[in-house]
Amino acid sequence: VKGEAVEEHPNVERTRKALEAYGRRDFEEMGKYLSDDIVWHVGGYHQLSGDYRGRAAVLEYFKEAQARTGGTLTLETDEILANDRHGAVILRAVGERNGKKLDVRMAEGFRFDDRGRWEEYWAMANDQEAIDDFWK
Amino acid sequence: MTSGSSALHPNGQALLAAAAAYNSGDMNGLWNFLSDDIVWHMQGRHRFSGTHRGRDQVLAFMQGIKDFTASTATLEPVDVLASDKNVVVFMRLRAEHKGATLDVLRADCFVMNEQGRATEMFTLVDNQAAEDAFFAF
Repeated sequence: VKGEAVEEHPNVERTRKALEAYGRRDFEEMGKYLSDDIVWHVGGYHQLSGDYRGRAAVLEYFKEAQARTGGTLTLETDEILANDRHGAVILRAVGERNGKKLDVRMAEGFRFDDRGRWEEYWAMANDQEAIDDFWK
Repeated sequence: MTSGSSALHPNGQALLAAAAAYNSGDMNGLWNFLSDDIVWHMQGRHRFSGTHRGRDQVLAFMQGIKDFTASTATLEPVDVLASDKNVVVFMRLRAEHKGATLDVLRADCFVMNEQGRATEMFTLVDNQAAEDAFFAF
Protein backbone atom coordinates (compact mmCIF):
# COMPACT_ATOMS: atom_id res chain seq x y z
CA VAL A 1 0.00 0.00 0.00
CA LYS A 2 1.46 3.31 -1.05
CA GLY A 3 1.04 6.44 0.97
CA GLU A 4 1.30 10.07 0.07
CA ALA A 5 -0.07 13.48 0.96
CA VAL A 6 -3.77 13.33 0.26
CA GLU A 7 -5.08 16.75 1.28
CA GLU A 8 -3.29 18.80 -1.42
CA HIS A 9 -3.41 16.44 -4.39
CA PRO A 10 -4.73 17.79 -7.76
CA ASN A 11 -7.51 15.22 -7.56
CA VAL A 12 -8.71 17.00 -4.39
CA GLU A 13 -9.31 20.15 -6.42
CA ARG A 14 -11.00 18.18 -9.22
CA THR A 15 -13.26 16.53 -6.68
CA ARG A 16 -14.08 19.89 -5.11
CA LYS A 17 -15.13 21.21 -8.52
CA ALA A 18 -17.27 18.14 -9.15
CA LEU A 19 -19.04 18.64 -5.83
CA GLU A 20 -19.55 22.33 -6.59
CA ALA A 21 -21.15 21.36 -9.90
CA TYR A 22 -23.44 18.98 -8.04
CA GLY A 23 -24.27 21.78 -5.61
CA ARG A 24 -25.33 23.98 -8.53
CA ARG A 25 -27.37 21.06 -9.92
CA ASP A 26 -25.16 21.39 -13.02
CA PHE A 27 -25.18 17.72 -13.95
CA GLU A 28 -23.75 18.36 -17.41
CA GLU A 29 -20.64 19.76 -15.73
CA MET A 30 -20.67 17.02 -13.10
CA GLY A 31 -20.66 14.46 -15.92
CA LYS A 32 -17.21 15.63 -17.00
CA TYR A 33 -15.82 14.18 -13.78
CA LEU A 34 -17.31 10.74 -14.38
CA SER A 35 -15.71 7.98 -16.42
CA ASP A 36 -17.72 6.63 -19.37
CA ASP A 37 -18.12 3.26 -17.70
CA ILE A 38 -18.42 4.39 -14.08
CA VAL A 39 -19.93 1.93 -11.61
CA TRP A 40 -21.81 3.66 -8.78
CA HIS A 41 -22.73 1.57 -5.72
CA VAL A 42 -25.69 2.87 -3.73
CA GLY A 43 -26.06 0.90 -0.53
CA GLY A 44 -29.12 0.02 1.50
CA TYR A 45 -32.44 -1.51 0.59
CA HIS A 46 -34.49 1.36 -0.76
CA GLN A 47 -35.93 2.30 -4.13
CA LEU A 48 -32.71 3.87 -5.36
CA SER A 49 -30.35 1.18 -3.99
CA GLY A 50 -28.19 -0.83 -6.32
CA ASP A 51 -25.51 -0.34 -8.94
CA TYR A 52 -25.68 2.32 -11.61
CA ARG A 53 -23.47 1.61 -14.61
CA GLY A 54 -22.30 4.24 -17.07
CA ARG A 55 -22.30 8.04 -16.94
CA ALA A 56 -25.84 8.44 -18.26
CA ALA A 57 -27.30 6.12 -15.65
CA VAL A 58 -25.46 7.89 -12.83
CA LEU A 59 -26.56 11.35 -13.97
CA GLU A 60 -30.12 10.08 -14.23
CA TYR A 61 -29.81 8.82 -10.64
CA PHE A 62 -28.67 12.29 -9.50
CA LYS A 63 -31.66 13.89 -11.21
CA GLU A 64 -34.05 11.33 -9.76
CA ALA A 65 -32.73 11.93 -6.23
CA GLN A 66 -33.20 15.66 -6.69
CA ALA A 67 -36.65 15.22 -8.19
CA ARG A 68 -37.79 13.07 -5.28
CA THR A 69 -36.58 15.64 -2.76
CA GLY A 70 -37.88 18.72 -4.51
CA GLY A 71 -34.30 19.81 -5.06
CA THR A 72 -33.58 19.87 -1.31
CA LEU A 73 -30.94 17.11 -1.23
CA THR A 74 -27.72 18.89 -0.32
CA LEU A 75 -24.19 17.70 0.38
CA GLU A 76 -22.11 19.65 2.90
CA THR A 77 -18.45 18.73 2.45
CA ASP A 78 -16.32 18.28 5.55
CA GLU A 79 -13.12 16.89 4.08
CA ILE A 80 -11.74 15.73 0.74
CA LEU A 81 -8.85 13.27 0.48
CA ALA A 82 -7.30 12.02 -2.75
CA ASN A 83 -4.26 10.53 -4.38
CA ASP A 84 -3.63 9.39 -7.96
CA ARG A 85 -5.81 6.33 -7.59
CA HIS A 86 -8.53 6.96 -5.03
CA GLY A 87 -10.49 9.76 -3.43
CA ALA A 88 -12.88 10.19 -0.55
CA VAL A 89 -15.29 12.85 0.60
CA ILE A 90 -16.55 13.00 4.16
CA LEU A 91 -19.77 14.94 4.22
CA ARG A 92 -23.20 15.56 5.67
CA ALA A 93 -26.23 14.86 3.51
CA VAL A 94 -29.43 16.73 4.28
CA GLY A 95 -32.74 16.81 2.49
CA GLU A 96 -36.51 16.67 2.81
CA ARG A 97 -39.02 14.42 1.19
CA ASN A 98 -42.77 14.11 1.86
CA GLY A 99 -42.33 15.77 5.25
CA LYS A 100 -39.46 13.48 6.21
CA LYS A 101 -36.05 14.92 6.96
CA LEU A 102 -32.73 13.31 6.15
CA ASP A 103 -29.59 14.29 8.04
CA VAL A 104 -26.80 11.72 7.90
CA ARG A 105 -23.05 11.72 7.79
CA MET A 106 -21.54 9.93 4.86
CA ALA A 107 -18.24 9.03 3.34
CA GLU A 108 -18.03 8.71 -0.41
CA GLY A 109 -15.14 6.74 -1.79
CA PHE A 110 -14.13 6.54 -5.43
CA ARG A 111 -11.45 5.19 -7.72
CA PHE A 112 -10.06 7.47 -10.42
CA ASP A 113 -9.42 6.43 -13.99
CA ASP A 114 -6.14 7.48 -15.65
CA ARG A 115 -7.71 10.84 -16.55
CA GLY A 116 -8.68 11.61 -12.97
CA ARG A 117 -12.36 10.84 -13.51
CA TRP A 118 -14.43 8.77 -11.09
CA GLU A 119 -14.56 5.18 -12.30
CA GLU A 120 -16.06 3.37 -9.32
CA TYR A 121 -17.89 4.88 -6.40
CA TRP A 122 -19.05 3.74 -2.98
CA ALA A 123 -21.39 5.65 -0.66
CA MET A 124 -21.03 4.86 3.03
CA ALA A 125 -23.46 6.20 5.62
CA ASN A 126 -23.50 6.28 9.39
CA ASP A 127 -27.23 5.54 9.47
CA GLN A 128 -28.35 3.35 6.60
CA GLU A 129 -31.75 2.73 8.17
CA ALA A 130 -32.47 6.45 8.17
CA ILE A 131 -31.61 6.55 4.47
CA ASP A 132 -33.73 3.49 3.71
CA ASP A 133 -36.65 5.07 5.57
CA PHE A 134 -36.14 8.40 3.82
CA TRP A 135 -36.40 6.91 0.32
CA LYS A 136 -39.06 4.33 1.21
CA MET B 1 1.30 -4.49 -2.23
CA THR B 2 4.25 -3.18 -0.28
CA SER B 3 4.06 -0.51 2.34
CA GLY B 4 6.66 1.79 3.71
CA SER B 5 6.15 5.28 2.36
CA SER B 6 6.85 7.81 5.08
CA ALA B 7 4.24 10.12 3.58
CA LEU B 8 1.31 8.04 4.74
CA HIS B 9 -0.38 9.77 7.66
CA PRO B 10 0.13 8.04 11.05
CA ASN B 11 -3.60 7.31 11.15
CA GLY B 12 -3.22 5.43 7.88
CA GLN B 13 -0.25 3.53 9.27
CA ALA B 14 -2.38 2.63 12.30
CA LEU B 15 -5.11 1.26 10.04
CA LEU B 16 -2.63 -0.90 8.13
CA ALA B 17 -1.25 -2.21 11.42
CA ALA B 18 -4.78 -3.03 12.60
CA ALA B 19 -5.59 -4.91 9.39
CA ALA B 20 -2.34 -6.88 9.65
CA ALA B 21 -3.11 -7.68 13.28
CA TYR B 22 -6.57 -8.94 12.35
CA ASN B 23 -5.16 -11.12 9.60
CA SER B 24 -2.75 -12.74 12.04
CA GLY B 25 -5.44 -13.26 14.66
CA ASP B 26 -3.91 -10.65 16.97
CA MET B 27 -7.04 -9.09 18.46
CA ASN B 28 -4.90 -6.99 20.84
CA GLY B 29 -3.46 -5.26 17.80
CA LEU B 30 -6.96 -4.46 16.67
CA TRP B 31 -7.86 -3.28 20.19
CA ASN B 32 -5.22 -0.55 19.92
CA PHE B 33 -6.89 0.93 16.86
CA LEU B 34 -10.32 1.32 18.48
CA SER B 35 -11.54 3.91 20.97
CA ASP B 36 -13.52 2.77 24.01
CA ASP B 37 -16.71 4.20 22.53
CA ILE B 38 -16.26 3.13 18.93
CA VAL B 39 -19.52 2.97 16.97
CA TRP B 40 -19.18 0.54 14.08
CA HIS B 41 -21.91 0.54 11.43
CA MET B 42 -21.86 -2.75 9.55
CA GLN B 43 -23.85 -2.53 6.34
CA GLY B 44 -26.11 -5.21 5.04
CA ARG B 45 -28.65 -7.75 6.23
CA HIS B 46 -26.78 -10.68 7.68
CA ARG B 47 -25.58 -12.19 10.95
CA PHE B 48 -22.89 -9.53 11.49
CA SER B 49 -24.72 -6.45 10.17
CA GLY B 50 -26.02 -3.66 12.36
CA THR B 51 -24.45 -1.15 14.70
CA HIS B 52 -21.81 -2.46 17.10
CA ARG B 53 -21.13 -0.15 20.05
CA GLY B 54 -17.98 -0.10 22.16
CA ARG B 55 -14.67 -1.86 21.77
CA ASP B 56 -15.84 -5.13 23.30
CA GLN B 57 -18.79 -5.50 20.92
CA VAL B 58 -16.64 -4.69 17.91
CA LEU B 59 -13.92 -7.14 18.88
CA ALA B 60 -16.58 -9.79 19.55
CA PHE B 61 -18.14 -9.48 16.10
CA MET B 62 -14.74 -9.34 14.41
CA GLN B 63 -13.81 -12.52 16.25
CA GLY B 64 -17.19 -13.90 15.22
CA ILE B 65 -16.26 -13.44 11.57
CA LYS B 66 -13.00 -15.27 12.21
CA ASP B 67 -14.87 -18.13 13.85
CA PHE B 68 -17.56 -18.28 11.15
CA THR B 69 -14.91 -18.55 8.44
CA ALA B 70 -12.51 -20.89 10.25
CA SER B 71 -10.00 -18.02 10.36
CA THR B 72 -9.94 -17.67 6.58
CA ALA B 73 -11.26 -14.09 6.68
CA THR B 74 -8.48 -11.74 5.61
CA LEU B 75 -8.32 -8.04 4.84
CA GLU B 76 -6.09 -6.91 2.01
CA PRO B 77 -5.74 -3.10 1.89
CA VAL B 78 -5.47 -1.79 -1.66
CA ASP B 79 -5.16 1.90 -0.88
CA VAL B 80 -5.42 4.21 2.12
CA LEU B 81 -6.34 7.88 2.39
CA ALA B 82 -5.74 9.37 5.81
CA SER B 83 -5.80 12.70 7.63
CA ASP B 84 -5.97 13.84 11.25
CA LYS B 85 -9.74 13.35 11.16
CA ASN B 86 -10.45 10.40 8.89
CA VAL B 87 -9.06 7.24 7.38
CA VAL B 88 -10.65 5.85 4.23
CA VAL B 89 -9.39 2.47 3.15
CA PHE B 90 -10.22 0.41 0.08
CA MET B 91 -9.63 -3.24 0.77
CA ARG B 92 -10.48 -6.73 -0.32
CA LEU B 93 -12.25 -9.01 2.14
CA ARG B 94 -11.74 -12.65 1.35
CA ALA B 95 -13.22 -15.51 3.33
CA GLU B 96 -14.47 -19.05 3.05
CA HIS B 97 -17.30 -20.82 4.81
CA LYS B 98 -18.32 -24.40 4.14
CA GLY B 99 -17.17 -24.32 0.53
CA ALA B 100 -18.56 -20.87 -0.23
CA THR B 101 -16.13 -18.07 -1.06
CA LEU B 102 -16.52 -14.36 -0.42
CA ASP B 103 -14.38 -11.88 -2.32
CA VAL B 104 -15.57 -8.29 -2.12
CA LEU B 105 -13.98 -4.87 -2.38
CA ARG B 106 -14.86 -2.70 0.59
CA ALA B 107 -14.63 1.04 1.10
CA ASP B 108 -14.40 1.72 4.82
CA CYS B 109 -14.31 5.12 6.51
CA PHE B 110 -12.97 5.49 10.06
CA VAL B 111 -13.49 8.72 11.98
CA MET B 112 -10.42 9.25 14.16
CA ASN B 113 -9.99 10.97 17.52
CA GLU B 114 -7.01 13.00 18.74
CA GLN B 115 -5.42 9.87 20.20
CA GLY B 116 -5.33 8.31 16.75
CA ARG B 117 -8.07 5.82 17.53
CA ALA B 118 -11.22 5.10 15.56
CA THR B 119 -14.43 6.44 17.11
CA GLU B 120 -16.82 5.61 14.28
CA MET B 121 -16.75 3.44 11.23
CA PHE B 122 -19.01 3.19 8.21
CA THR B 123 -18.63 1.05 5.18
CA LEU B 124 -19.92 -0.22 1.88
CA VAL B 125 -19.00 -3.25 -0.18
CA ASP B 126 -19.10 -3.44 -3.96
CA ASN B 127 -21.43 -6.44 -3.82
CA GLN B 128 -23.77 -6.30 -0.84
CA ALA B 129 -25.88 -9.19 -2.11
CA ALA B 130 -22.83 -11.47 -2.14
CA GLU B 131 -21.91 -10.49 1.40
CA ASP B 132 -25.50 -10.88 2.63
CA ALA B 133 -25.64 -14.37 1.13
CA PHE B 134 -22.25 -15.39 2.51
CA PHE B 135 -23.01 -14.26 6.07
CA ALA B 136 -26.69 -15.26 5.91
CA PHE B 137 -28.39 -15.94 9.22
